[in-house]
Amino acid sequence: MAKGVCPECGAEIEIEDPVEKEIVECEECGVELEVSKVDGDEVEFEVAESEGEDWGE
Amino acid sequence: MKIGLICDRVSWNEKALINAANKRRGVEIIEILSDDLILDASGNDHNLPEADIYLQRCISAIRGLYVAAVLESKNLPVVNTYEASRICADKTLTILALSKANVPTPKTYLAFTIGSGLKILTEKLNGIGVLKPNIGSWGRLIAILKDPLSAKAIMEDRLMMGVLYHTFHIQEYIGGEPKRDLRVYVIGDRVVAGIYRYAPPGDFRTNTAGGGKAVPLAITPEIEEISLRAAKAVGEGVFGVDLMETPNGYVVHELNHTTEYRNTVAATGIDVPGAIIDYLIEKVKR
Repeated sequence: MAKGVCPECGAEIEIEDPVEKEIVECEECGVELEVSKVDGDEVEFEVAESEGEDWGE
Repeated sequence: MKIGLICDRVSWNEKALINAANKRRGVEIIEILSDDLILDASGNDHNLPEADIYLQRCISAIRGLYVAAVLESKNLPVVNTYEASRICADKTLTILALSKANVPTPKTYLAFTIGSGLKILTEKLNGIGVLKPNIGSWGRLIAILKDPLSAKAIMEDRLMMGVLYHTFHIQEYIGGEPKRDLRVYVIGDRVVAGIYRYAPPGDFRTNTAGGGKAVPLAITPEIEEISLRAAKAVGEGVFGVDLMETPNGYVVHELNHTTEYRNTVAATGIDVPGAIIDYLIEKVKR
């Protein structure tokens, strides 16, 4: 299990088989995060981009 | 076999595709982030990793359209096709394609001015309609128009926004209780899963992204037939078909070409991402 820290609240976040640009929600503060770097078992997160006007399915 | 998964971000949906592909022998899935892409419109000098087939799942509709257009013009197989994506990305083009294929849809009108929009509301739709952006998802900016004064104000607001919102797509409001619609997953020539989507309390929109609740749907022959015909109206591929119930039967109001399935998998236990990967494998083998 890889680990990183929420840039918003500092909570530790665990993530399985992380991939770049993966979206996860911080369970502490609820902010949507994006995986910005994967280095072995260490992961860096950024706050994810907010919804664009052409986003969707 | 290599599958190129083209996306802007890796949501639960894309991660599930990666996991499904990794479980299948002889299949390698390559994550291709649109942020890093350089596509050569005039030639073939792309930085696109090689793959036997590409699955286009950009969350940005416009990025996805360009990706599909370039790949297809270079004879690289992409799901969904540019043509299907172009139609599904636009709610008006979708209704046109469905209507041409004799698939029942809600009554849908277009107007370019507030005056014409109000005439649609009062003269064509008995005073109640739903205003939708032509390009948009997850229920964003879908407004119910119930009286001319507030309808006028809503349309005035839209004219203050980007040009995307200046064409008024106004659809018949399908009422009734409970407030729900159907999402049916068509992959290739078969229906693999379906859910009812119930609107959350205090809303008429059923999008699960906005709090709508997913409940398993039993696929009847009638649902199967209309969903397959709806998907066929835009071509073969992977689609989320949205239907509503009316006293005269089902109508199709939208087709989704980068359909999400997280809530469907949770509600039904059906492996939709696995079915997508199997479809891509079959398509390469064909």
